[in-house]
Amino acid sequence: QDNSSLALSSDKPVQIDGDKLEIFENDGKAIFSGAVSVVQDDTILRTSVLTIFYAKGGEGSIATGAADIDRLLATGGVNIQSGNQVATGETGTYDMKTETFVLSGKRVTLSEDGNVATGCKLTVTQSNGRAKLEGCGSTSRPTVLIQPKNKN
Amino acid sequence: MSKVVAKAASNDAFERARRHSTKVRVFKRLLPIIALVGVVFVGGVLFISRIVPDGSVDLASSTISDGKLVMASPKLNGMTKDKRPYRVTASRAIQDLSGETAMQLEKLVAKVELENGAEAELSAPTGSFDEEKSTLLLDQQAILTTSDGMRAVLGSADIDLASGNVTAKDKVTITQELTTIYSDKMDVYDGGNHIIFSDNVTLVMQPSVVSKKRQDMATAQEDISATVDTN
Repeated sequence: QDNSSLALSSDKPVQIDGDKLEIFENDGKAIFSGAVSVVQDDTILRTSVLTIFYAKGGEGSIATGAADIDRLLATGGVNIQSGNQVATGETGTYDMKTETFVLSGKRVTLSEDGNVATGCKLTVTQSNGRAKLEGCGSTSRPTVLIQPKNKN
Repeated sequence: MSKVVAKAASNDAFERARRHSTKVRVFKRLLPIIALVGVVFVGGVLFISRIVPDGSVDLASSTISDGKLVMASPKLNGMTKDKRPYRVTASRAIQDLSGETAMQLEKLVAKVELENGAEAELSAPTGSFDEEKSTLLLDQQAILTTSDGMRAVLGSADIDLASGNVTAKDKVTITQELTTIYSDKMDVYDGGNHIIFSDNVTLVMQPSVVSKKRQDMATAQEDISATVDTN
C-alpha cells in the first residue's frame, strides 16, 4: 500500500541538505540555503531557500532543540517528488499545526504518470492525503483533471 | 469540478500525526559552552603562567629547555565568576621564554559545570593559547561533550575568548539525542545567537523526536484505528 504523500509525515527521519544553515536564535528562525533538499522516506522536496520558523514564546530555543517548529517556507522554486507524483511551484509553505502544505505560484503543476494538471495553488492536507489544485483567477479551473489510479 | 485525489495514506499514520510538531534540535548551548570552557581555560593557563615567574609553583615539575619553559601536567581547579567549579589539565604546557605570548598546550582537557548541572568537557590533543590576543586555537580535532548527551567534534577551532566567537573548520559534527548536524565549517557569533554552518550542511532529525510526543498523545487518545502497514 503506497504510503507516499506530498506532505511530510511524522514517523520517519527527515534529512535536510544545503550549502548553508544559518540560525537566528533571537528571531526564532533557521534558514537553509543553496540547493536545499528535504528528504523523507520517498518524498523529496527541492528548493533554493528553506526557512524554518520556530514557535514564538516556546520555552526552549532553536539550538537547544526544545523549540517546536511552527512552519516551513520554501522559496525560489519548489519541486516535490513523492512516489510517482511530482508537484512544482514557486513557493511552498508547510504549517505544522494544520499539517497542510500549500504550493503556489504563477504556474503550479501536479503530475502523475504523465498526466499533468496546472493551476495556481495546490493544497495538500496530510491528515487525509488529499491534494486540491485550484485554477488561476477566480473563474478558471485547473487545466487538466486527473484521477490517480488506485495502487493496491 | 472534479477533485484531484492524491494517494490517501493509511489513516492511522495520519490520525496519529494529526496534532504534532517536529522538534529540530540545533545546538545553542554548545556555543556558550565552548566560549565558557575557553574562558575557563584561559583563566587556568593565565593563572599558571602568572605563578610560574615568581616561583610559587613547584618548579620541580617544570624545566627550562632550549629557551622554553616546560611545565609538566599543569592542573588547575577553580570556580568560575558565577561560582561553577572547573578543572583544567594538560599533559604539558610550553611557554616560549622569548617573550612570544602564545603558550602551547598538549593533551588539554577542560571540564566545567553548566548552569543546568550537566558537565561539559572539552578535550584536544594540542592547543595554542595567546594571552594578548585572548585566543585559544585548537589546531587538531577537539571534542566537546556534555553529560546530558551532546557531543561535538570540531576538526579545528579558533575560539576568540574576548567575544566568545568561535570558528570551527575541517568538519564539524554535532550530535544530540535525536538530531545530528554535519558541516565543513561552523561560525558562532553573538554568544550563540547567530550560528552559521557552511559547506555541505546536513541536518538529520530522527522521527522519535516527533513520534514520542505523538505516542503520548496516541495513548492519551486511546487510538483505536488499525495498525499501519508501512512497508
